[in-house]
Amino acid sequence: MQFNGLFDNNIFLLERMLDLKSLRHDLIASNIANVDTPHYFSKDLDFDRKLLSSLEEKEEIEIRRTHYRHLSIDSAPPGHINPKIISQISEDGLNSVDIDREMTKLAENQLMYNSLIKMISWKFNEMKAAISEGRR
Amino acid sequence: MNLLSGLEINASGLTAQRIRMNVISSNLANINSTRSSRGGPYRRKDVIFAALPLADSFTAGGRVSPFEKMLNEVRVVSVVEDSSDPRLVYDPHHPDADSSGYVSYPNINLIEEMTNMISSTRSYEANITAINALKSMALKALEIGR
Repeated sequence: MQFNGLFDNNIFLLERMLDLKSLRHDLIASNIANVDTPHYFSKDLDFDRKLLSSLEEKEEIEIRRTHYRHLSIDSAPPGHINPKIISQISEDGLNSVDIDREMTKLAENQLMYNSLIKMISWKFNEMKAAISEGRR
Repeated sequence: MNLLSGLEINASGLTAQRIRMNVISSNLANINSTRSSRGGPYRRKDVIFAALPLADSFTAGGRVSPFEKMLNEVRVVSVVEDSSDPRLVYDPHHPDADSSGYVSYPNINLIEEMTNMISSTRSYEANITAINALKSMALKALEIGR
């Protein structure tokens, strides 16, 4: 496992994901604010797919993974994840915001954000446990 | 990257929907107004929404990531008058009746205004929900390392 200072690379991966979730929230907010604006096209990030492909690029890892979607221990450099913003263009050129979908995405994004916060907190708690030699 | 730029975006949505709501109120209040300051009956008004790039006073001169350029707030760019014909009602005794006895009432459809009002309320609530989501996310972020 490659250590970078106190933590392994995963914490930087989590950090980057947190940034991206925050950005995605802004995009969803933009879509919701413009729900009644004519000719506005709904925008979103496609980073989940992008993240998977960036993780799959490192197939030559020596540690055996039992499932192709398991994260490798030494995962891709976090700055590598640069998702694109995709616009959903409607055929008739009218507003393409589907408010139900946006609200669902909003809730999902919030849950994912909170889970990432939990994961980062766990990392810090592990470190705290190590510092206090397992005592509280 | 500004953590709370989402708040500004949804606040712009709230403002826009509130202006729209005020215009609808004006239409509903004046549904029977046969006189106006411009002469003739009151005319139905409507708002024009436009998606504009997020104007951020802090990052305006500095570094703006390509993502942030894609963020749009909503603004009411103008309030326009509906130019459709007035509603004619036969009432020869009305002071504003024309020579053939017809009174010109505003071109407002009550059902249409009520529908727009509900739609505006829903959009307003959606913006509120997004603001609350961001608030709880930001509070959650403060819990890192607790």
